Amino acid sequence: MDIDLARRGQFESVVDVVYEPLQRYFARRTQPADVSELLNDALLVIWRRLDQLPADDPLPWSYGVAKRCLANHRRGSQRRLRLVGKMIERAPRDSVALGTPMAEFDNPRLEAALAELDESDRELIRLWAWEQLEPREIAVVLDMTPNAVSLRLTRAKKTIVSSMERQNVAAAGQEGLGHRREPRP
Amino acid sequence: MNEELRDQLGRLDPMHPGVPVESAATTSSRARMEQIMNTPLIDKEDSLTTSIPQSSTIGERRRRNWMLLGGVAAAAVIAVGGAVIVGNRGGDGDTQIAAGPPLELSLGDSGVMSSCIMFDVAFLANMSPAFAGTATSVDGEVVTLTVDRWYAGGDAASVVLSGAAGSPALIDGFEFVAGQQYLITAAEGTVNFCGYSGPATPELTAAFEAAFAG
Repeated sequence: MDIDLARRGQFESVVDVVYEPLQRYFARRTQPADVSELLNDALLVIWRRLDQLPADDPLPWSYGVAKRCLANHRRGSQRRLRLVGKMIERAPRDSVALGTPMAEFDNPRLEAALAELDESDRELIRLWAWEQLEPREIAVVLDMTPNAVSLRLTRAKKTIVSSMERQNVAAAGQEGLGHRREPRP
Repeated sequence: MNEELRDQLGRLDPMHPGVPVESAATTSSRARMEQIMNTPLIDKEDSLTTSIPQSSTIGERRRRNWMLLGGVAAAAVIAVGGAVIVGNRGGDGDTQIAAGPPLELSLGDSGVMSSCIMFDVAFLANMSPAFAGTATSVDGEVVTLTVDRWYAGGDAASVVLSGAAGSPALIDGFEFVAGQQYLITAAEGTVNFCGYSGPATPELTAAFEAAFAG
C-alpha cells in the first residue's frame, strides 16, 4: 500500500509538470479532437513506466513517449481508414500544419523557409522553438546523441536563414524591376 | 541570430503560451489521472487477474478498438509463407516448431494498438500468433528472431520483424537487442505493443504462461 501511495504521489508530481506541455505538443501536431485521446495514451505509458522516468527532468522523456504515441496514432488512423475501404492518400510527411501564427504576426518568408526543410529537420526546429528544448533535451526526445542534434539543428537554422536571405534578395530584385518599369514623365 | 530566430519561430507557434490548455488541477484532469492510476500494471502480479473496469470511459474506448481489431483479425490473420495456423487461439497447448520459411511481421504499422487497451491476460489469451523468440540480429529496421517456443498461431523456426520506413527498432519503450529474448504477439501481421509484446521479463513470461496454459 505504501508503495502504491508513493507511486501515485510520484505520478501526480510528474503530471503537474507535463500535463500542459503535452497538450501543447499534441495540439501542435495533430487535430484538436485527437489531443485528449493522445494525452490519455501518453499518461498511461508514463504511469506504467514511471520507474524509467528521469525524476530530475521528466519533460524531455515524456515528449519522447508522446512522440511514439503520436506516431502510432498516425499509423493507426491511416490503417483504420484503409480497413473500412476508403481511398486515402498517404499524407505527405511534410503536411503537418505549421500552425496558425499569432494574429498580429505574419512572416510568409519564414514559413516558406520552414517548408523547405525536410520533416525531420522541421521537427527539430519545432522542438527547439516551440517546446523550447535545448539540444541535450531534444536528444532525449528523439533518441539521438546531443552532438548529432546540435549539428543538425545548426544546419537547419542556417538553411532557414539562407532561405530568408534569398527570398529578401529576390523580393528586392522584384522591387527594383518594378521601379525601372515605371513610365517616365 | 539564434535567439532572434527562435523568437520569430515562436511567433508561428499555434499553441503559443497565450493559448489556454486544460490545467492539471481541474476536476476532469484529476478524474483522468485517477482513471489512469487505476489501470492495472503489467509488472504487478494482481494484473493477471484484473479485468477492465466496466465503468471506465478509457476502458470502453479501448474495448471498442479491441473489438474492431477482433472483427478484422478473425478474417485476416495473415499467413506468411504458409507457416501460420490461421485462427489458432490460446488454450490448445504449444505448437511444434517446424522447418520452413520465416514468419514475417510488421513493427511499423502498429497503429491497431495505438490506443492501448489495458493489459489483461484474457486478451492476451486470444492473441495469435504468440511466441517466445531470441533476437539473433538487429539490422536497422529489421529484427530477426529465432523462435524458442510457439504459444499460438505458428510453427516457423524464425520470425522477421520489419519496421516502417525510417523507424528504428525501438517501439513502445523497449529496444530489440541481439541475444535478448522477447515475447511477441501480433494481429494481422502486425506486432501488438502496449505491453502485449516485450522483453521476456519474469512478469510477462508468467502472463504468457497463464494466458496460453493448456
